[in-house]
Amino acid sequence: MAKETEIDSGAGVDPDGDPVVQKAELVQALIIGGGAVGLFLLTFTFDEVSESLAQGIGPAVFPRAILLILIFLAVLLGYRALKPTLESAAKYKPAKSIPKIVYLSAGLLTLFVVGLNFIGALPSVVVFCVALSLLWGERRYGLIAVTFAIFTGAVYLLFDIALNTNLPTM
Amino acid sequence: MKNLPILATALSALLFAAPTQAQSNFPSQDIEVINNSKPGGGTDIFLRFATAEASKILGAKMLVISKTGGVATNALKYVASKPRDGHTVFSLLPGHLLTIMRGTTDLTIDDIVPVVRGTIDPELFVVKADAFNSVKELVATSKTRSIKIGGTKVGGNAHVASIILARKAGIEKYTYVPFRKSGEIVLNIASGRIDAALLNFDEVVSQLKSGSVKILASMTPKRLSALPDVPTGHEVGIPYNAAVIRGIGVMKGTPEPVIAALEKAFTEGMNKPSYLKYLNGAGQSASSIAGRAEWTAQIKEMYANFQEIGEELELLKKKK
Amino acid sequence: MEMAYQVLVFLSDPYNLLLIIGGTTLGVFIGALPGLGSVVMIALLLPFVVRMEPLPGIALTAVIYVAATYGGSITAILINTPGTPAAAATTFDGYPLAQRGEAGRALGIATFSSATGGILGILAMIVATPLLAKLAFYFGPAEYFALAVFGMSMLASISGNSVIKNLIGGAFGVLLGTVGSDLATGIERFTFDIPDLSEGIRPIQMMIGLFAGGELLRQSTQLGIKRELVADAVAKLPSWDDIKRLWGTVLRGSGIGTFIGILPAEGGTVAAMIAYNEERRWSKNKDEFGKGAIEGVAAPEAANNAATGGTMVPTLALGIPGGGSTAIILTAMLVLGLRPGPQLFEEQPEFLAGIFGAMLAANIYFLFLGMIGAKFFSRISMVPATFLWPMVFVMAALGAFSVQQSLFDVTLMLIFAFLGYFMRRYGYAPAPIVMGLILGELIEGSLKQSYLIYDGSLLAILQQPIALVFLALSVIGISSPLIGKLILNRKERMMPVGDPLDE
Repeated sequence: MAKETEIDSGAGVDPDGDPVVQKAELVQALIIGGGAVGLFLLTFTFDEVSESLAQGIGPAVFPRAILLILIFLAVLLGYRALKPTLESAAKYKPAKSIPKIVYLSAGLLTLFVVGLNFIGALPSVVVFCVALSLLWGERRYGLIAVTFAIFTGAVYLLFDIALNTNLPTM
Repeated sequence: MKNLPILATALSALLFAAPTQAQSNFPSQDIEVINNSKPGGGTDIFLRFATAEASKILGAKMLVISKTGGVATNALKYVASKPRDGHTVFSLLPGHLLTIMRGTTDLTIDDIVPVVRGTIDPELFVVKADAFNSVKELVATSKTRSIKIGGTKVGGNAHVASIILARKAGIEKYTYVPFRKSGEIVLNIASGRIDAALLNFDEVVSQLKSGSVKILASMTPKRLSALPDVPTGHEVGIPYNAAVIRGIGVMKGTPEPVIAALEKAFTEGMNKPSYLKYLNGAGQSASSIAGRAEWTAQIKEMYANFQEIGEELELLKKKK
Repeated sequence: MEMAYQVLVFLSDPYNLLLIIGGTTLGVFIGALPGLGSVVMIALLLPFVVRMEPLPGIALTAVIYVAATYGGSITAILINTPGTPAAAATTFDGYPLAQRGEAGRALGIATFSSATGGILGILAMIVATPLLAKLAFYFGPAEYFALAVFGMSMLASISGNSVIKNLIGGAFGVLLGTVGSDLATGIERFTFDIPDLSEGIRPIQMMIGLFAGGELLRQSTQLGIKRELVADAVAKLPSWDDIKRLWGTVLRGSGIGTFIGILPAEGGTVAAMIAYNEERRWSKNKDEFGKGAIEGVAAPEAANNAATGGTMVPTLALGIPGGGSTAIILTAMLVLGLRPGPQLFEEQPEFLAGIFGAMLAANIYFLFLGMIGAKFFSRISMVPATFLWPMVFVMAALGAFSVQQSLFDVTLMLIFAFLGYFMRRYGYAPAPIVMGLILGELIEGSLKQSYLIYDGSLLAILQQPIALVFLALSVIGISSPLIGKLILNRKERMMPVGDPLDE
């Protein structure tokens, strides 16, 4: 293991060789910490246990303990992002932005689930499969048609006929 | 192959000719049976047995579907959203009544038509074999230390039943210990970690036979034929009847002939050997089965009782 | 010997054999489908089962249970989607192996480990059921608490930069486990007034989203990367060297699985998780885990299948079911007029022999089925991503839907899919979250039960010998990397030349 060279060539250090603030990690720490604080406050809105039922440990105690641990860990994560060690700087890769295709794919997944609600299962399956395949750069149109036609038929046979699931319909 | 749908229609018309003539055209499609608890649980199993014969009698497929959430909130909401033509029926349990009382649905007790009752699984007061000899002894002990009563989730049926039991028996100090799986309860009684619990016959029968637990009383009006030596609660100072009661209901607005057809099919089906075997396995007799009249009266009575106890226990405290 | 003879009698009936073959095939299939599991299948078959003769009827349910537990591993390896919760740990290394073009090897190892684990679990049942059943009595809330803490303790024991992230993942999983109405007070927590959440988050929905959905989104960024997979290599089954190397792992996994299976509050999912963790904790090549270590497939698969034998122990000997499937099997037994309990072993040895025989035969049958199937199924990993992943997501979404026919479940699955992608991207491994969800519920529940049982004194947990042992093991487990480091440092001082980390 050639540690020295790794630190030199690592992206987590500035030209002087000092570790830089790890932004992505800091953002994570803020999101996790902020979320945990929010949920911690939410525990105060839990319904109260009526007196005749109150016994033992209350409903909010355990979640609060876990949230405190999460907050502590988030602070630790944030501190390490602000003051990284040379070791962690060596492994640190500044985050590239999320590729557009991820958002587009995620959008299609969401549309599929929405489609289940409105246009029914089988049309959604056909549209979603073809759209995602095209989005991902598949251009063998014949193969797309055949594969997903067979697949949709199989889905129908399996869920509707064999398993008696009432798939959503229009 | 174009003729296939027509052929199928003709065939089904032939097959279902007899029943369809009698009551308009019910059933004209599969019947959904909505279970308010998890697949594989006690209610699911009850519905599987209840529908197996009834679907044959009606000549329609019956699909048991679980809709859990908010005790019976999701189940009732789902049923209410469906046409009231008898093609959607649901498991009807005391939990449904509690759900209606809590007001998490827009339904009232009058929106529900009880069709048939399928089980009365009596609650048995169970303790470790060598721990207590009688209810009296247990009550005496409760003056000096807290009796640990096991059960399922707090706020659920078993919990409410345990509170009433403790009150009626005069148990002074007690702690309710909730468990996730009912199997754990009998195990913790047998190992002496907890003192007692209300359990059903099928939950204790094995441990009873091996002699590690003992039944102090059955919470029934009469002694059980499966346990002739066990006194009833009334005999030993706990004037209280408790049981896991399960039945089937439909929504108000379902046509009378359809309700009658469902009642007939379920009652007949439940009197077939396979269902009676199921009852027998749970230590019950055929008297668990009851038609619409008896089941409706019981539901009304339970509802009234719950309102009384519920207010007392503040179980119905509305959300802020 | 008597028992062995009875087993042979049962298996010599062609009707029984047919039933086992049919049941096993069905079970493997249903187990492989994400969402549906043996619980739903056995419940569906129950009305038919109770019309059969008692022995073949119960044998059929047991066989489906055994086979479905194995079936979950197939989709876990091929498409990163555990067919059943018990197969969640199998994805950690099984899927990376498939990605590397070694799907056949991974499937073969899963099959071999499952069958071996299953058979060892059943052998333990045959030899010592009445004795093993007593073990269940020694485990109460305090002991479960300690055991769950022990399971969680590995989160801290992984060395490296990711300790904080592992702990965050674990804590997040535990937090997810608190969603729903509280066992001890009935109060709803983090449900946002959605009735669907009052029963908590179903692990399978979370896993399908986290694993299948998250992986789909990750795949979308890998489209340009050509994977050169050679068909013959993909379909290649594990070598004898693999098998030889895995014996110890499989034996340890089977031991853990049988033991945890016997405990009624636990089951195959916890068994697989703990087996995976222990295998990694004590492994010499820890770093390989999560990247395609064959031990990481063998350990959980041996454990979850051994647990099927384990869970049958309290079901048959005490009448206390350990899980969803065994609860229905117990009902079927009662309906068929069989009373489980110690006396069953004296009164109806031929019945037990039949059950054991059927379960053994199911394991042997799916060993062949799986080995032959691996050759074909492994080629699924060669299907181009542009065809495979749309279909995977449809199966995942409809699988999530079919359990309760609820669109809410599908939406929840979708949310976990997004979460899964982001967590992977920023270095949060899925294992700690899954462990947190599964063990967290147990930790909270058993802690509260202990508090009530011991009249508010949590110190009493430490007075339970078994609990104390597990808590001590957790402490050792957490501190072992530290101790290891101390030893290494001393060595370093003594031998200044060379890098001790390089061995």
